[in-house]
Amino acid sequence: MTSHCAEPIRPTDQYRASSRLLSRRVTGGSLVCVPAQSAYQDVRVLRLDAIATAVVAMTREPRTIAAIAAALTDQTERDAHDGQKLHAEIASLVAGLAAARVLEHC
Amino acid sequence: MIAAPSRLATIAAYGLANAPPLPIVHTLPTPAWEELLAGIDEQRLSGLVLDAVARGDAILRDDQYAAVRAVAEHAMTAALRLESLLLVVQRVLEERDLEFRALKGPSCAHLDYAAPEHRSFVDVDILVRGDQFDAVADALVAAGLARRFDEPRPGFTARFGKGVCFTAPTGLEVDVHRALTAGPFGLAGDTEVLWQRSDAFLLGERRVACLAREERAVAAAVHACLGSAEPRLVPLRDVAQILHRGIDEERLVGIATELGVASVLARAILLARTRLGLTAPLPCEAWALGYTPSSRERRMLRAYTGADRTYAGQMLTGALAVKGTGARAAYLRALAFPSRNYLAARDAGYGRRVRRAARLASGHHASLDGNADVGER
Repeated sequence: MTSHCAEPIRPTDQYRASSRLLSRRVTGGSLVCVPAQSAYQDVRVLRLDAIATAVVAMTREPRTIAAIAAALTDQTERDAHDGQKLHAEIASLVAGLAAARVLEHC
Repeated sequence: MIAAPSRLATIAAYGLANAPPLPIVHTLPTPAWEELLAGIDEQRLSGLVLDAVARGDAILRDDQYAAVRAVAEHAMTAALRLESLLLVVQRVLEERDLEFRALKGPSCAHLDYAAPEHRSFVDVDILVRGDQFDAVADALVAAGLARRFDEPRPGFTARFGKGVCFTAPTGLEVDVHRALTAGPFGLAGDTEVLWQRSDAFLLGERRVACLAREERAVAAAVHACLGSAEPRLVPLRDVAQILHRGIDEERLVGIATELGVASVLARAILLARTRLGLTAPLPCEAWALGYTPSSRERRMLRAYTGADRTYAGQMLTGALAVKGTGARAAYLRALAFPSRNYLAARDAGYGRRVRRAARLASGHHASLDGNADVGER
């Protein structure tokens, strides 16, 4: 998933999961969508993998990308090098989720 | 002797107290597996199968697991699209101060099942008040939904009908109910009993009003028992599921009696117990066993459960349940002499319609195309 947003992500930016999100757990992740605004609009249902699902779950409260990456590093017991790589991956993932309106910039 | 439950029925019972053991599936030859998979899909049981695998209660081959997983994800994608539409409907009706209660799928999935993934659905059903029915229909049409069927006469559905199906531009459907069923059991009682209290479930950040638990059990029983000549498994599971969640039996029977569907509730409880192969009685089963339907109730039940079940036949039998001579005359007049638009969609003319009605009334059930305004799925 690639962000359509040209704005660079700042380390202090916080994100939270959309409170409007509809979701279902599925094997290895979840399906989510942002509800439509009218009967004419269909929704785009996204399949999130386990990591993206974890990101959505931990952003019920606003978090920075650094905080998300740190929490995931702890969860996955990665070393410092892997942690840096994970941070970059999470930044990209968060940008994608924000572009899909699954996460909101706050 | 009670027949052993089918493979699909034992899957439908999975997770209930006193459910029979699941069938052994991983050794099934391909044709038998493909038939079972088609049934799992058609009866919407994929969520229960995946739950059984996750808990170690069922074993599937990798290819079987992948197939069920694909079916389940397709079903859950549909459920999310439908829940989104339900929220649109809620906003449209709230803007006009129109009340509704969500029925069946979404409310059962969120309130009665262990996880919403275990219960899928293919449309949205809502209950509205008869005196608000036409206003609700106008609001939905203004919001872009198309009414699928005309009514025999203006105001007929609001007074006598089960409801109407609306289709969104996305192809998704909303069934708007005035009553829980068409025909005599939709006319036998007072639907006001369904409005005296409510539950709610959360969709995103929105609370969606739905029937309270005992009312949901009665609605599930009506759907299970009258929705199709051969009861479908998920509605039967809904009945057992809600009863097992803990219900006030006196309230349950009282609601069914007030709605005029006590015989339907009794039948649904007994059907759920036997079809799902449960090895111990369901709550309220003693009452159901002791319930003796009257000859009138038996006649009404036959309109739904007979092999020659037709919507037209149910509507004709509905005259039995309409209260008051004036109301009955209005009901029969609307059915015998509907509007030209209604007639054009179904019959070539009044003469053909009268002949069809006469055949029905005399018990010669010709093949009829009577479209139920609200489908049963």
